[in-house]
Amino acid sequence: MTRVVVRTDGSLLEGYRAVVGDAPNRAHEALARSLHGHRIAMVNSTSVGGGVAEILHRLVPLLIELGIPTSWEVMPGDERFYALTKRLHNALHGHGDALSAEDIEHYLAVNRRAAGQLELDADLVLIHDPQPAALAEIRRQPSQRWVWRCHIDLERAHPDALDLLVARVGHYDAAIYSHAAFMPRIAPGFLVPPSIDPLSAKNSVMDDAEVDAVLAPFDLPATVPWVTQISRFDRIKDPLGVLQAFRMARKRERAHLILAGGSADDDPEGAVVTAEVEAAAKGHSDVTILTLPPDAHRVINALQLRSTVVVQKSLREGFALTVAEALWKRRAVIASAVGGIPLQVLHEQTGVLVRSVEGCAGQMVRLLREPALRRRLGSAGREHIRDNFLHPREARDYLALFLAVLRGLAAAR
Amino acid sequence: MNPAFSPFPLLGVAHLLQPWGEPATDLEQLRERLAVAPPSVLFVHVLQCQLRQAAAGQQTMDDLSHWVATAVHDLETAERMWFALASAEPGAEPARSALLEVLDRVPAGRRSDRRGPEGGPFTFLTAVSVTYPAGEPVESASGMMEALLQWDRSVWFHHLLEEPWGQGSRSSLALWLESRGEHRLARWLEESASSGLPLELARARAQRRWRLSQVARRVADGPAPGADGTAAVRRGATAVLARRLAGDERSA
Repeated sequence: MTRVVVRTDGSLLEGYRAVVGDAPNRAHEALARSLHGHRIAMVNSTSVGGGVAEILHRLVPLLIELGIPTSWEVMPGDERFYALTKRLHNALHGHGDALSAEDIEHYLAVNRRAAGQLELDADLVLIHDPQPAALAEIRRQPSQRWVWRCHIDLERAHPDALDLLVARVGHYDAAIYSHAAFMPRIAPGFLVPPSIDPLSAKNSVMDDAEVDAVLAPFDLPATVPWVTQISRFDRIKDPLGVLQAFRMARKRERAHLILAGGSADDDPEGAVVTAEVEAAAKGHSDVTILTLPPDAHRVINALQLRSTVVVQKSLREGFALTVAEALWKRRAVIASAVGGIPLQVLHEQTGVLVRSVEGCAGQMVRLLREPALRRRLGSAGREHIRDNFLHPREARDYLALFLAVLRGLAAAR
Repeated sequence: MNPAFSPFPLLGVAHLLQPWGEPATDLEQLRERLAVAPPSVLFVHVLQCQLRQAAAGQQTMDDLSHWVATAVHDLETAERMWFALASAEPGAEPARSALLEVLDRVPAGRRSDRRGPEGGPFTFLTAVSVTYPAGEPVESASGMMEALLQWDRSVWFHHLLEEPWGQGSRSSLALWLESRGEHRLARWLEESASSGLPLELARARAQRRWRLSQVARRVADGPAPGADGTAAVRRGATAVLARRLAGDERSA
């Protein structure tokens, strides 16, 4: 069984309408009308677990609700295939080695086998990530359009792994990336910035009682304002810089610092950095380090909702969706002007951008002292995220891209 | 066919972004890239950012000035770029000239010294505009205003900002209104759109003016004094409309 059965009761469009209003839905419906008569097929490697499956569980029903016949096929594989594509995934992230010649042959053989099993007769086939990427060269028909969706940041990719991928992507009409940092210029590449789902556990509304209940196990202080950074423990997120800035700010303003996050499975340095942060925070009762599991969505939601100031002092970033999450919750945000953060934080309008530890400390003091400023930034931040970084905007980008590819606009670039 | 008798097809727009060229890490590189960037790159960073920042409560900086102010921390140059762009005629070439003139005033050696942080270069983007019909073509000025205010803001952006910027001419929407005798409405819309106000504030301002004009029109079109009503009845109707309008303005 390769097809995922998607059930929808029309509630997604209604749910989004309640959050973003009528106008975006009307634009979606207009774009969908322009796609009338076309069928879409999505292909990825799993229907459960992982970010891509999570996206498809929202996107596919939304397209169906908009009247676009959309199917979701899951690539069948064997144990060796899953192990080697995990290694390929890591190599594309810059960890570990590329695949051997035998591995590549097995990867192509599984794709050939899957090409005979999957239902791929749609007008537009959207392939997600590297696992099914070879399907296009095996299966595409001249009348079809094929698009590849990359969910991986390729900036530090192993060159051999990248070569393997580039050879596949050349068979597509267009490719979609989340980050502008690196896009192989083989097929026309489009940037679709990531977005957050306002209906998800991480971003949906929680009342005070729910927040209290979710946070109760962590024994956090209730009477002082919280300054929080939620990010995996990684040097590029600069948790030690946040700690240093907080120590400076703490001399002038009362507050509690929470550094919360986990470490990526494929990041061997995560445990080392966590230990460094814990050592630096040792003996400071006004600092809490929380190591969270990957599915702690409601805890993150509650922490963000209860924080007075949210910090994202990264040294380098892909997009930093944690910033969008905090802004969506009307939090006052202090962040570095790196990666996709300046798209979200418009300095002094939706948050503040800093470049140094001292700048971060100064802004912590300022925001802790000025509730009216926090309210102004938080309110503008929420509107900015509503317009630009919620799922409905990403869905609109997909619809526009389908239309562009089917009209031949993408190929013309 | 006389355009006044043809309905006007309103379009919404979605912009598909693509990276262009190498990112800039300092003002010198910014200057070099801007000198050769295709018009669509200037469109994204100078004009399309107004659509992304449409709901801002106050005037915001374009992408380029924002980067120079917040990543490079050269506020003086950022302010000059911002003002030069705000004062430039619509279009990529006037924007390019304005930006280069400001950047050329910074000595070349200093341009290389003024850098963004390691992880924060300026990434240039270009865009493909994908248009779609925003409902049925409109047949009257009031239908036009209703659609412009009810559809998503990309419709306003496309007709009143993107089209004049790209074609170096007046908005076809404004010309259509003029062909139907709606010169004042056409002028308001063009003035509101080019005022530099955040898009939503400009749209709200146009909405208020439109409703006020409708009140005035209804009063003017009312029955002559003594025809079948009294002046008091007309004053009462005007007051009701004015109160409704004031309520709308407060909630806008």
